[in-house]
Amino acid sequence: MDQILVPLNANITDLPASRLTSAFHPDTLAFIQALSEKLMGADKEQYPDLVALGFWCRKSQMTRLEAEFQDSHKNVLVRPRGTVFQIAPGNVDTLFLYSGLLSLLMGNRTVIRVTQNRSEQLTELLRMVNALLSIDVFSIIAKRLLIFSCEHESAWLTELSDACQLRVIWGGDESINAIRRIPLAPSAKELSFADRSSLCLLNAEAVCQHKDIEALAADFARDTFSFGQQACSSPKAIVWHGENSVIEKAKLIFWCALENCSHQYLPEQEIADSIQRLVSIQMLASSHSMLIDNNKAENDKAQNAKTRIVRLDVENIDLNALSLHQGQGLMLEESIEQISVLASKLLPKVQTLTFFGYQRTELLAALDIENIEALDRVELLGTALDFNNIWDGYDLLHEFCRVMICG
Amino acid sequence: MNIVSDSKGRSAKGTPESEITENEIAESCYRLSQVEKEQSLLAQFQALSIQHYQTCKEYRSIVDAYGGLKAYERVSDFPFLAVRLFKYLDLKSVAQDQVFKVLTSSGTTSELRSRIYLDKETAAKQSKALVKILQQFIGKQRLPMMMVDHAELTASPSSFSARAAGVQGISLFGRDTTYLLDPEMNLDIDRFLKFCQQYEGQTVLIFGFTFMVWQNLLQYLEHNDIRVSLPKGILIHSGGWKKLQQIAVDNDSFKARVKDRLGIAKVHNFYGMVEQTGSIFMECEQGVLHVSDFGDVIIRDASNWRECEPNEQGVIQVLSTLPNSYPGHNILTEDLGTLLGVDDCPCGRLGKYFRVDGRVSQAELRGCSDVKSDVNSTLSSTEGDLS
Repeated sequence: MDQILVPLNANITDLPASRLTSAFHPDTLAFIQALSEKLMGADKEQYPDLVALGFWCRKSQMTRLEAEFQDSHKNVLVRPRGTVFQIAPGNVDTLFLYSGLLSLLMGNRTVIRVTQNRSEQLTELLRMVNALLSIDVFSIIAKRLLIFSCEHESAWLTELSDACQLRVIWGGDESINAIRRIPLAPSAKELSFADRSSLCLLNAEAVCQHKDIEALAADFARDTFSFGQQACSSPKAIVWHGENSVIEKAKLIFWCALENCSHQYLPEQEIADSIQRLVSIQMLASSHSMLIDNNKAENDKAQNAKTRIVRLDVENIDLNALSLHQGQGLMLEESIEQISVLASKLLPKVQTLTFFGYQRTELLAALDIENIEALDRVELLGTALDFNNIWDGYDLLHEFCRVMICG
Repeated sequence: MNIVSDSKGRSAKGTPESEITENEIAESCYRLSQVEKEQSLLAQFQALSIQHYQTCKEYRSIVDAYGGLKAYERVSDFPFLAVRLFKYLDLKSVAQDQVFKVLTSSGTTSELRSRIYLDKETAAKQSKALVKILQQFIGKQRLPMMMVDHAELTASPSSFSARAAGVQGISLFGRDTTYLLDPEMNLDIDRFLKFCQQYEGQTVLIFGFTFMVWQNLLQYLEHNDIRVSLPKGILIHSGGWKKLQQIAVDNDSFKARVKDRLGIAKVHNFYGMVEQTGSIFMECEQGVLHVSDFGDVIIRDASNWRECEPNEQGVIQVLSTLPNSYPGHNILTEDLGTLLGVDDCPCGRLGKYFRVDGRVSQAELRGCSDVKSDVNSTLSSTEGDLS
């Protein structure tokens, strides 16, 4: 069903008439700040993604963004692009507002299409945004922001594609291919974020010596299992680095801690999930040399076997292996002795490498990072899901504006 | 373990159990008690597993991931393959030049289809098993037969849909076979009435896929208020209940309407799939599905794949001793079912008997986008394969 979600009682045709504003306009900043406060006041247990979003768009962060941006655009005039039409993903369904807010911040008319299968968090988020927009002082924002959901064949997609100056498609690949069939105006630009996979590199020695293994495991669990393991930045595989005996020891310590803290993220599997996991495991096994973790093997007949995380020890993790991994509690593992081996795994589709147990500079040197073609982020373990205004290699603030030269 | 007989099917037609003689049971494929069968199957599946391990590299690689082949102690211990693998992979245990026929599951064009590679030996074993099983219900003589399908279905000799394989398999029981539909699925009512008139009072056989029997035959007769009387007729049908469940037609009401319009009381559904052609599971006079000596059924709890207790619903695993040319001897389906009992069905057949409860419903897919989840929403189904 085609449906306008934000603002309440809005019409799809209202938007083009509204005026653009300047970048970092005080009205926009006030709105974002009010939203931030509202989000941070949400129940952290029930709405963790909303609290995280609220924290990200807090006042000090926006002030920092503005300062950085102004600093790098000193001698030019910055104007909004116009109408920015964003198609949000279904997997991380609160992500859309990060880029939505950046687009608003730059003064654009911002239209966002969200998924039809909305999670509880997304519903709550939309409710909060609507509550704010109904306040008089934010009515000016309500004229520049439109959030809707629609059928895949909806005429709205065609009309908005024709009317927008920038179209942003937040994957996956099939979605991008489907949307790309809808023409844009010749002058319009498109940004697309294709399906990506991420890896986590763990220094086995450092894991063994780490004092607070519980905190490390909790960070890893959050990186990995939030959003039902569907986020592109969540690691699908752990690459263990070190000597084999040390790796074995590290695995024992790490997995013991992880089992204890991952349950809150892993819901009871539905039957279809269990079957999907079995299909993924067997597809992987049919083309890779691997071993299903013995303690929790998929064919384990033990009563009460906790099979919610299934570890697969894969000899050579490649792109195919990463694409067969579709969540459901799966985790691939591989052991390497030299970091340089890792470079060959940083294939075009790898987005984020999270790491633990290295100095960043040392790691980047060992990876020979300047000669790696893929990879958009090298981040500390625990920050995989932190949104950054530079995403998949694009500086979004920069993409959301146009630069005018006036002498 | 006798729950079924009280609630299911028995009253629908008063076919006496005595219809199957002691003698027939003795030479039937339902003669082994589960304990005897376990021993026999253990040896057969051990041999089959080794054979496929040696000849199918994907199967070997999968078994190795589970720690390699072992000397399994129970039939339920053997590794099983998820049925969807037959849609994604070309699983063969013979060289390509040995492939004699490729069976494919039906399905819409956008759906991936299973591809099942048969050599002559496996194809022969499958038709022999099918004959043996059906004989227990139809008898040994060839019967005048009507197919609720069209004749062109089996025209292509080397590539077969599941539907065509079913029609061809069962056609061995027929003579003077009359195809009731044209390729556009319209009923040739004159042909139908002529057949009914010609074989009035005789034992005749009707075969069709459940939904087609319903839609293309029964619905036509009901709309045009036509009744025929084939009191000695036998209707065999298969293909899943999904579409009929959507319009609230269950097995009992299906049978009642067959009785009303065709005058047929002997109606047998069967559960089977293209991945295990031949070793089908026939519905007995008590209205429950029986496992023949050609295989086994195990119901599993999806949370850890342990074997379910009787009367506990789970995912159906089907085993067949027939497949040599492809590793389809041990498959986890995407159907739900319930084991109802072992060795004690009032119909007299030994072994397990069970019920199919439908397909595993697709969990809300929150893949990379909702466009993608729409594409993925067609879960492959074994039960639906024939529909």
